[in-house]
Amino acid sequence: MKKNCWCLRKKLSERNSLATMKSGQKGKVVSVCSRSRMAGRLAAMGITPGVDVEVLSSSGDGPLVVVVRGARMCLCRNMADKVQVDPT
Amino acid sequence: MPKNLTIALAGNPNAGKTTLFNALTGARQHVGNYPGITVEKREGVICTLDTEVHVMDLPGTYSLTAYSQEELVARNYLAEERPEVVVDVLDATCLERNLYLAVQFLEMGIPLVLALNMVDSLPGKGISIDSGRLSSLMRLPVVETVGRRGIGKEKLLEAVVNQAAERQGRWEPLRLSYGPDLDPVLDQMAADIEKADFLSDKYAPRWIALKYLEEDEEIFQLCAENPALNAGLYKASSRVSEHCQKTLNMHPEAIIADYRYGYIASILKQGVISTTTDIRDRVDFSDKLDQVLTHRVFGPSIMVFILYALFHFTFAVGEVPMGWVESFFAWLAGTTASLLPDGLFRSLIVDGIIGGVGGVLGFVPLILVMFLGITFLEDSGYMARMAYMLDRVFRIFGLHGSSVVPFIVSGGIPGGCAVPGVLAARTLRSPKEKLATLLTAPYMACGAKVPVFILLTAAFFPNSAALVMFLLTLSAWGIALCVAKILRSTVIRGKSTPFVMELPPYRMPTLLGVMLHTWERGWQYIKKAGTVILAISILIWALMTFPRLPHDQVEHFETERQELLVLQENTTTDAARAALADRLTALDNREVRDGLLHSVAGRLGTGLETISGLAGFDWRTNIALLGGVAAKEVIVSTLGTVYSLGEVAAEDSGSFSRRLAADPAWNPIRALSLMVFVLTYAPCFVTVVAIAREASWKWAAFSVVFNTMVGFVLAVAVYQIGNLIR
Repeated sequence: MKKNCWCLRKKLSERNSLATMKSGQKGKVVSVCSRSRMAGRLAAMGITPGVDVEVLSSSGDGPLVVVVRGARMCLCRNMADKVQVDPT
Repeated sequence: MPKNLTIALAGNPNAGKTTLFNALTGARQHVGNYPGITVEKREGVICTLDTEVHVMDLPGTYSLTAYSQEELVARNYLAEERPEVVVDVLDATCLERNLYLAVQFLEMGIPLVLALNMVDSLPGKGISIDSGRLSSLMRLPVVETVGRRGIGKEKLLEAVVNQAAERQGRWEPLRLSYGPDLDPVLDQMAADIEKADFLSDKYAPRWIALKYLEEDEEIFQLCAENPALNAGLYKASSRVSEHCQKTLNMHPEAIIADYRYGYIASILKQGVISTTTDIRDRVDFSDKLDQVLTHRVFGPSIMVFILYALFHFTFAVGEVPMGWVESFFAWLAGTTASLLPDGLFRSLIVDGIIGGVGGVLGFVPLILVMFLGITFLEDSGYMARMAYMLDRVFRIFGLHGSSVVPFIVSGGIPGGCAVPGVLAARTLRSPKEKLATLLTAPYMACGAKVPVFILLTAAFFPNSAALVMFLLTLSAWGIALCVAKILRSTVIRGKSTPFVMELPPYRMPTLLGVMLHTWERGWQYIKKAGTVILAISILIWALMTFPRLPHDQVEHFETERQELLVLQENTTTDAARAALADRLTALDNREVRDGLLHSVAGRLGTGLETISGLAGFDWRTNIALLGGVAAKEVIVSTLGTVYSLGEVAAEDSGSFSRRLAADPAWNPIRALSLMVFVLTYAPCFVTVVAIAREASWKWAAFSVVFNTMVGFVLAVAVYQIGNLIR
């Protein structure tokens, strides 16, 4: 099926991906630019456009811990790269 | 009112579903596996005055789309078994996300009752929930529960019985609107599905259309069987997908999720949920703990310390009952030997069955204690933190944070089993990482290898048993990771794939939960000892007994024995009599040894001695190692049998490890080399079958040959270098 993601604002939003956020930073998810199945999985776990996120821990190239809809989620950097965020 | 009721418990992982299940059913439950997969199948019965309620504990899932094995199992159970009511267990502290699954149940149409679980944690978080309002807005029974203390279970049961009586098994799919872009397409697809009468016995047409848009793998597969229908569905879905991505920059899946969360938010906003204090300013207890336990420096050190403490706990507590079980089997062997007449049958019972199965069962107390510790770590939420902390390391070796689970299940903390470990690797979506995990998980110290280590450490490193075990576990991880890296940069090269998991809040595990879980795992081990190991023990005993010594050789021994006995009768001095008794014993031993050498197993073992000698293994060890390819438990039992065949009387021999320590042919280096080999050589037969099922027979054969080579090289290195240093 559709393996590649097609993200119109890729260039612009790359700078604001979840992966670039520091520990303690908060923001709002703008879009999830990922393969469709991954996006669906993230959505089921609560990461959808418009939701508030808070980064609990993020360092080096290890996984991140974020708080979304009251739950702590651990996601790898590759995945966090695909989540565009508006920092607040 | 129905006399017999079947209900299913469903919910997000970590919503306290199993705890509530335990509270409802108590010990009246049964755990098995779904055929062919390792997802646990947990069933129980509740008896009320006039109803017998059969409860099925479904695996925890976030959605009903087939992203993983768990979701598929849960969905297929609901579609095929059609339980009268589904109880969706919700973590009240995380209501919005938990309701996402509830909405999907409603869309499926299944009769639902919501259990608002863990309501006792709400005040601490400054949240209050009006469950009555939630109930009237969603038009569903909602019951507040606290699973760990069993609060609300009667009310829940009452609600379930009422809901079942009211719905009478009727499915009433909820129709959510997915907006102007998707609704027309969904309607059209649903109409097509309805016309084709496709899967109409299981799912509503609109539900299938939705799953098609969500790119559900199983629905795709099922639809592919109906090419005429599939062509139309594919065309419609790809057109709408393209359209959505162009105009909204979103996949249909994201839009669907968005509308579901929109529906949930519209309900919650109507006075269902309110926060009394600003929770953002509070630091959660779990977060506070995490600041220490997953700290960049302290975290890993604490993890290593916890694992080490687990070993100490296991050995200190498990040793005593293990002694009891051991002496029980020694007594049983002795008594049976004295009751039965000498001959093949006695040998089969005493050496084959009691020696083999007893050797394996002797480790039950130790394994129970170890499972107790592991279950505690799992239920408390610490295991997920371990995966999180190890992901950083795993990525370097071309694996995944999620590879931790197969590794740990396989015996990353000693006591696991590679079979469920290999099957747990299914959750890895990337084929390359999955393959690397499949091939390296069997290096872990599984529960069947542990007895070998315990035996050898007790014999040769009696004062530092825990330390040696700990170092062996670390080596298992080291070897697995290095081999993974080698595989990932040679035969299975490729980019890594993303992963996501929830870190559940820290919770004190319930006593009942820990006990039940420990017992289940221990019971599986015991069952294996009673079936597979029993059969293999008998087979190996036969291999070690047949073909028997030719008649003339037996006669030769017999005449020599008669001569000695005559001499013994005619001697007068005690010293001479003792010397003759020694010669008699030596003669008996020689006969047994010659018999063993003459058998199939003996010939195989001796044949391999030229090569295995490099690693310090003699023919007896070879026999045990060959048996270990069938099942690793067999190593200890076979060693026991091989050596007990050489004993004159089973009852006056000391414990097996003491006998090994006293054997001049053995030394610590040989023991170390054997432990390294056992840790790394070919996976057991069942694991090989599992690998073949998950990957292919080609990779399964590869794992047997490759792992044995790795094991042999390492064992030779240990033995040769060790002897040089000595």
